[in-house]
Amino acid sequence: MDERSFALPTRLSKFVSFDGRVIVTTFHQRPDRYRHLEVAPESIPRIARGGGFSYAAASFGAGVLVQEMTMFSRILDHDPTERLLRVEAGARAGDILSWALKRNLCLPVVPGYPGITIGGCIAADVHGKNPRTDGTFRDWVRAFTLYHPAFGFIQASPETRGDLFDATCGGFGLTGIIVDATLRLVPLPAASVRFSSIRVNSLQHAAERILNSSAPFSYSWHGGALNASRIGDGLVFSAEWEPASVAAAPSPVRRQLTSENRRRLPFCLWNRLTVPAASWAFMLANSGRGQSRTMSVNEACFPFEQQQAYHRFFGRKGLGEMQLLISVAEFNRFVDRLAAVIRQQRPLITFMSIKAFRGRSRALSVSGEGLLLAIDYVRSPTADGFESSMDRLILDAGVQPNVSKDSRIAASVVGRSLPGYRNFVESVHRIDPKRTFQSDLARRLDI
Amino acid sequence: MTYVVIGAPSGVGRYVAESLAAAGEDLLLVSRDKRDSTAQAADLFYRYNIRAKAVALDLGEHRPEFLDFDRALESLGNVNGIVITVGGGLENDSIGGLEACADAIMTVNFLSVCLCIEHVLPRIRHGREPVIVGIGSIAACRGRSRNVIYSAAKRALLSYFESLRHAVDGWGVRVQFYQLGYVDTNLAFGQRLLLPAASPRSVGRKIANNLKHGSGVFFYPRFWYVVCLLLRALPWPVFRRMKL
Repeated sequence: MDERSFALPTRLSKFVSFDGRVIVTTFHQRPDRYRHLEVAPESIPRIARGGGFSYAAASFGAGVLVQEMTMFSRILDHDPTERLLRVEAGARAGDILSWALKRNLCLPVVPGYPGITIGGCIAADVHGKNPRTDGTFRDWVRAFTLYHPAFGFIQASPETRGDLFDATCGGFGLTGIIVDATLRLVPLPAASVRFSSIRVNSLQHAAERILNSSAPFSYSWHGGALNASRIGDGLVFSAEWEPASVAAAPSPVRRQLTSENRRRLPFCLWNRLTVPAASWAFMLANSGRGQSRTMSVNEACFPFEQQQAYHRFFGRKGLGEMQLLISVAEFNRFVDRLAAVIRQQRPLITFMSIKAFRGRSRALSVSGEGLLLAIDYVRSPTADGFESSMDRLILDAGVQPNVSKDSRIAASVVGRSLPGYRNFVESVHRIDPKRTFQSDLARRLDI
Repeated sequence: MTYVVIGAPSGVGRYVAESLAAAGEDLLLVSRDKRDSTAQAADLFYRYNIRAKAVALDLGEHRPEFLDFDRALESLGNVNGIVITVGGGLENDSIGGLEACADAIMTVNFLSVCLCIEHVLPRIRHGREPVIVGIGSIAACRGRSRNVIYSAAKRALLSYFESLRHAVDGWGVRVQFYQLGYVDTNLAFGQRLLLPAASPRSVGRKIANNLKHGSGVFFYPRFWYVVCLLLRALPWPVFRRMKL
């Protein structure tokens, strides 16, 4: 197979997972018409790609034809009475949110980056700022159209093709190409968001605050610390809707962060001096006078958009991230065990964060209720030991890893920790028996 | 006012249509597959609140069938201009392989475009500030061993547009022909390019913004004018050695 085997212009492109760990050169197409989706033969393994923000190499794989869906970004229908919006899967979440905000509507679940596509949101079943009350993206999808060369274009909703719907939301594109989706919007509660922060000195303290908070959204930030006894130092952010609009929205970022330009720096700027210094500066900026501030809904939804330096500083070597769903009852015990692992392995953790979570994925996403703990760290030989220890801890403590955030976690860990894994694998093999849809993630997780 | 954009859902046409919709112009969006133009019409309606109609027209056919096209035009009223952005090549377009592809390439890049303009001209000439826009290629600058019929068709199209401009000179119809350099569309995707490709968005915006300004042949990006001059001026012994 070479570039001339395809009916649509195809080239070899290099794809990088957002964390920089997986790099693959493979076939790449940019379909921009519906018939372009139909021309590639069923025998060619393929996968759809959206914005390419997945940490987990979900949108490419060696020898897999990557079909970039970003040209399918159109609004197809809007029912203002039912507040339904039908959009093509390549539409960026940021663009759809901007369109909705102008009409006093809102997407209840918005991912962290505006460049993530609607198809990507469904495929990874992303969560927003308050999954405890808003659930995950699948809770706001009324229906979608899926394309598979074996059965063409097919509509799926929880009522009509529940099996396909369940396997596709959080299925990382392994059931077919998501072509469009009908989303449920909600009225915009207010024009802006007022954030306030409060200092906490432990992860347990932060979790307690978040669980007791009645704010529309609440999450914590914990900076990197040199010793394990101080890993919980941080802030709990709470946000309330604010009727007054903010004076000026921040100027749009000139250059979008992508998985390619994130790794442009040849070396990592995060080290045992810069991490505590940046954490201290962030804490200072968000305490005292910076304790409370009002921002636009857009800015509140996409905090990383204005703070790209954080990810760029990881440089070519990349970053590691883990996101774990831990039951509330087990949280304190888990944190004690985590502190022991950190003391022993000494990874360079750049930040941690906690959110309260509720989700009901039946595919590869985390599911159930609890606290979602995210850990970012610098990749290094010491981090390898930390990752192995964490895999053991995940299995021992019975927590669920978010596979979309981790490009190295193995099938042996995921298979025993994600409740939907076995059913999902069976569903994918039933829907796509020839396994036309493939990716690095699918192969790593033995799907 | 209404503009017709042929080849609207993809490449440069997509952004011509988007720029016109942003300026509040109503549109007739034409594509080979109606699914594409229908999606685009809905998008432009919901984003810019304009009237946009979708219609299928296959310029790959020897005699394009204009029945649906005419019906759609009737419902939109006066037509102010037509922008035709269709075109394309085939891999075996080189000396020795032309029997299989020459007809198709010539039809879509040249003959159908002429017939389409011929068909719309009686309606356009009565519009306000009427304009006809065609798209050429720097591939037509000088014949070479690749894209043989494609280059010939684009050069023929340039000649047709010169004739058209001459013929409609007294009618107040503007005739614009764009000689485009590399553009980052599927036509150039995967090709080895010697110079940077322009974004289709910038090209589309340029064409839409220029609709009310003059007639003639325009190079875009403009540096291609110099490149073409140099290529034409190259003596044959030098040109024959170039791998273009």
